[in-house]
Amino acid sequence: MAREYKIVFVGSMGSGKTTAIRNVSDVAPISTEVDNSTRAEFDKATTTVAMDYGEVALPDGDILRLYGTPGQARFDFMWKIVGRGALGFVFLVDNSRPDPCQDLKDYLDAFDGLLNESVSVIGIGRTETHHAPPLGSYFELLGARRLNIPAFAVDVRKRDDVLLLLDTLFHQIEATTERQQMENAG
Amino acid sequence: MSTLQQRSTAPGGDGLGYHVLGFDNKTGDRLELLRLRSQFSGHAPFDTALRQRFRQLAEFSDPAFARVRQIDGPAGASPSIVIVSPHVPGVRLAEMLTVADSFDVRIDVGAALCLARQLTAAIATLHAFNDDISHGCISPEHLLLTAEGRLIVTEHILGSALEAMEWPREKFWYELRIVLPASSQPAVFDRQADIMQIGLLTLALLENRQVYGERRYPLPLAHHVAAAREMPLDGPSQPLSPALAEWLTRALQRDRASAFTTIDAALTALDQVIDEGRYDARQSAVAAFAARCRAASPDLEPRVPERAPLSPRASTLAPASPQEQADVEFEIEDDEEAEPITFMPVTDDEAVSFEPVAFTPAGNGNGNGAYGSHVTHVTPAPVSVSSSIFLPEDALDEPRPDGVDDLAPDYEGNSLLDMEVFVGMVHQQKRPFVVHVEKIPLLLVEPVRRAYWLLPRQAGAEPPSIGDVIARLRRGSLRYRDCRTDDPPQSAGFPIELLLWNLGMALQPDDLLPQVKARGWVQLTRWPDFGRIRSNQAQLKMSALLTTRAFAVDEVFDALGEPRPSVIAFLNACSLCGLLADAPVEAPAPSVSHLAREGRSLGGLMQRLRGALGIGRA
Repeated sequence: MAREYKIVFVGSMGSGKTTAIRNVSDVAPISTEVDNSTRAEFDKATTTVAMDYGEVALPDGDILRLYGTPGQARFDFMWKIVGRGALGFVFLVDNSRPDPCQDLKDYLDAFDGLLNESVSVIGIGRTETHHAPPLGSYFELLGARRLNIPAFAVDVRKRDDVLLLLDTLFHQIEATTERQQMENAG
Repeated sequence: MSTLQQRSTAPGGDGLGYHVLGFDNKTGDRLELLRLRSQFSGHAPFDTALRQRFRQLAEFSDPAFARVRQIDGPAGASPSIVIVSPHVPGVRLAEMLTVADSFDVRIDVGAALCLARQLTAAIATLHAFNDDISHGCISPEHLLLTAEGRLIVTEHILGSALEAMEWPREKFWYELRIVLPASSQPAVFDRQADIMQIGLLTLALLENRQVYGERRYPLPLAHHVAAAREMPLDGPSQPLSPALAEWLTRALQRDRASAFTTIDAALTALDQVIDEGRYDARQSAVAAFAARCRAASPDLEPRVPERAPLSPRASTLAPASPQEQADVEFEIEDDEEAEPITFMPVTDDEAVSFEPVAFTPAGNGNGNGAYGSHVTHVTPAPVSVSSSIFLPEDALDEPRPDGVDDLAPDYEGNSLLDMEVFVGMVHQQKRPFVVHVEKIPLLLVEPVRRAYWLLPRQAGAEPPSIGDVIARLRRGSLRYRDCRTDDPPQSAGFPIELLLWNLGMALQPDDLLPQVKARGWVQLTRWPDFGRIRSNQAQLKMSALLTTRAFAVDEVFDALGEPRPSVIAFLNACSLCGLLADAPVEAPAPSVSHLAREGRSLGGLMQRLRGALGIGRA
């Protein structure tokens, strides 16, 4: 029986969730985008209201499903639904936003319970054009919350950068599993 | 290898900072300086307490102590507090014990007890000077041994300052190997602490230093006391005499009811132990021990700093054209009245051939002379930086984790001190500074933005390659000059972590850096920024494991399961990037049990996912 796995991309509007999924999906990603009702805040014609979806087929018939969650806070009720049972979360932050650290805080707050059950990684985009806040601000934010989540400056338009984020999740899963095995054995 | 030994192999360094020798050019006095780590220098209560204790002890003078002459910094380009003392010819006890360990030189019980007796008597003198005074950080790193077997106590003004750090006791142990009496109250560096630290040092001498390698805290002192042996000069060892074991137990404060309450009581009891046990605890026993160590390792001969010729004061910068200056201009801070002082590393094997690092008093206005400034050979000429000097982006993809062989192979261990200073500048300095190597401006570093820019050798010249920069940095002989922050470069520059990472990858590929080994364990505070640093599967794996938990240095190679050179390069790079944790942290790790609950095997899943995504393929 084929098994399904899930990775969830979370991020503010325009942070590149759709692009990231498109970069690694085997199938043409499905996006349900409609007119952006908050144009005053975001200069983007459409935004995701349901979710992005892509998938990667594994050799034995298993499937890795890739979901991108809605980027607007009014859809936060969906985040935990889609996040339940996920292998991991990829948080995408747009450094050109007015307060990207606050964006990340909001997501970490929203996913607080799920962060204890899955591994996560943070990809920070547009650092080349927007130098502030520096990566150190994100590291401080995570450190203050005692969150051991990797944070990288990435450009999700590059497939290698998306693969780095995914592979970081995989390595964390392996390390966590190994640690749990050691603790169980000890 | 014991932790003590590992700590002692750092070039002139210990947990507090590192030592350098030098001269006061005005008086010709030989000096010894302890340059403190940033976490102390940057903590205002530490600074305040240190200076207060310094004032309290201004009139204290005793042959058993190396008097602290002054406290300098932090100021100007110097990010560190520097404790300046007259140089006392001798060898740090930590170094002596390292040699004893390495060359199997026996520490006989007579020498051990003589050292304990000298130390106890010295601390009793300190306690008698002022009711409020204690030492606080008695350890082999802060004790000197003369050729005649005389013990000299150094850096005795640190106790109250360390207390101001308000660290938990565990951190004092893991960071500094300072033991403190157990209590539910915050750590206090009082006289009881001094007594306990004397007890621990004595125990370490008797049990071949094992206790300083202890990774458990609170320390299992009963176990160590039971394991300690009396070692005669000849013949087999034997268990501690009951009297000596009792003295140790009382000094170590294992039972509060029987613990020594004053240093005088401890001294009196120790004298009784020595008399009744008829131990040969004369100073000659220590001198004989020191002589055996020197015979085993001639490098232990006390090194006397020699006045090095001062480098000529000269500008090495090519004049910048008005056009270039218009791009971005940094004006070098100058102090024409400053007189350089030259220092050289105190413990490095190659110190004699090491090019002295020149420091210049920067006149920071605190009245202390600020010996710690790195501003040297300054000129009023501006440094011009324009976007035309930046390294092409694609060149940054070239450094390879295994590319260390491509770099200049003339690495010399004595450049480690320069490297340590450079890395310290990057992590501690707040203002932009220019790094010169062999009189050539090489880098502009903006610590706050965590960025650097490559500087051309001359105006209009091609910037150096990243490989060349790293090779030059490795050779040492670095100079620093401050810049103003009024008009910083508009371009992003390159991430400083990228430079430090590649530098770490290129250092000593056959061994861990001393400061890594000295920790005794390793753990990452966070992942390196692999978005900017080219990573490989092994580095991702090591990052995942090392952010999850701490590993002992001895076990890390096996635990990570990667080739030794890869682990060494990775940990060295993490160290330079400031990613190694100061103290072991129980990192919260997410549970993936929901996957297990659903009957899913994670064993091969990750590899299948990587295969499907094409991760790890060439």
